[in-house]
Amino acid sequence: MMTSRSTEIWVGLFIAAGLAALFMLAMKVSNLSSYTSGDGFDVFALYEDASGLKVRSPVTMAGVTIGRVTEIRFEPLWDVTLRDGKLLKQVNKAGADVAKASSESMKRTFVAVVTMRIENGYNNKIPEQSDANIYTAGLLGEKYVGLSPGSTSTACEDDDLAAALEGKPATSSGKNCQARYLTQGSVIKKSQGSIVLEKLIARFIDKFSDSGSKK
Amino acid sequence: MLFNSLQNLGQQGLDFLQRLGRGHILFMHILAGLPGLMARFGLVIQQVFSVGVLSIVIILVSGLFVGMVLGLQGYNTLVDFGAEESLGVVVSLSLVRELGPVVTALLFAGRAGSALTAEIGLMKATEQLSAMEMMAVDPVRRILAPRFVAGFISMPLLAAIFSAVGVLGGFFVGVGLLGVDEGAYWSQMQANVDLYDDIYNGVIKSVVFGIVVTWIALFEGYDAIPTSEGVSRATTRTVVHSSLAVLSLDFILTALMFGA
Repeated sequence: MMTSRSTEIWVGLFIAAGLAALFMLAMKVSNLSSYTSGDGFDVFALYEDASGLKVRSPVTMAGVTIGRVTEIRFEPLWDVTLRDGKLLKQVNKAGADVAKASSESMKRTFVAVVTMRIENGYNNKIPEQSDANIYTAGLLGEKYVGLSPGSTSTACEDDDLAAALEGKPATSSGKNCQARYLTQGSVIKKSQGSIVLEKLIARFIDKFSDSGSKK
Repeated sequence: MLFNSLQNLGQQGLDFLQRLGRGHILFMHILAGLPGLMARFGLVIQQVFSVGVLSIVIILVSGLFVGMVLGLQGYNTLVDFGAEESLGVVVSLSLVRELGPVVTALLFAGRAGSALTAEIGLMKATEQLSAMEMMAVDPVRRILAPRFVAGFISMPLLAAIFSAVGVLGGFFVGVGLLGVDEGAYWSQMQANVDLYDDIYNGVIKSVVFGIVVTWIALFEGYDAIPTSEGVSRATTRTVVHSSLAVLSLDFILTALMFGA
């Protein structure tokens, strides 16, 4: 049976309209358009408490989404530092004494390791001393990581700090003092985890009951 | 007396089982006829026209109004909690997950399903189907299979159009009329609707509904008593049975997809 030309045109229009509607639902309504392309550099942050944070939660800076959380792990601080040589160095420099005495305490300290993938455009542009705090969007909104830029420390300042902690005199003599920025594998040292409402309330109750007993 | 009523019950049960069996045999028969359709795809296109294209107007209009009502009702509820920003989420999730596939399937049953049943029932009543058999043409492959494929193709497309138009309708009412922030409407929607969890599952639902509604319509037509009363009864049964099937299947699919 011959199908008439106009019928075929109408069917073509119908199928095109249906596919266009599907496409609109996918692009405009769903979160497909906000998927990052996947390339970027990984930055780590260690938290005491990362509750509420999820994989694919946004990482923002000044309210602009610049990346996504790609992984949230929970492990002893010691394991983290051992496995990742770079991380070990960074934690070491941040002031944690990785002498044998503290290795025991590090084995007992558990942290949430949050891996964030930040878009390539921001590579080597955000100061390494930035804070990465976990905030809540709105009163009941979901959690996100907010970066706020800190001072740009230099490599030799870090060396000096490490030296000072070990009780040696500062060794850097101004050579090779380049400012440091976040790049692949950087660890954000200043990070404040989620504030859990129950903990906050418990703290208040503690405080009140303490002051009550003193009287 | 007792035996008569028992006999009645047994007869009805057997009838039901026989119809169920005939329906499944027909379904298998249609599926067996699908590969042969590739050679004559023009038949399918013609049916997509009468099943899909002619249903577009009712889908567009009802999608728009369902979306507008959702926008209005959602706004009135959300504004109490100061959460009218989430209107986009409410409208899009209810459309994409539930109302899009379900209402489209109900309209599809009423608009296209009843037409299919009446057409095939009349073909049977006027002995066109028997005439085809006389000419060694298998009516299931020639008449039913293209209509089945057309329903299978049209239903998800119609449901997608319904949802998309509904989201726009909610947008007109929410943003245009009630003053919800335009950026919040879209961005909250994009942040909370997931491509796989919500949209794909909605499409899967509409495909399932398309198969079920078309199957019921074709079977009722093919199995109709070949009189004018029989055809009218079959048409009614198509609408009633496919609506019930859609609503109950929707619950099962929702429980499977979105967690029981």
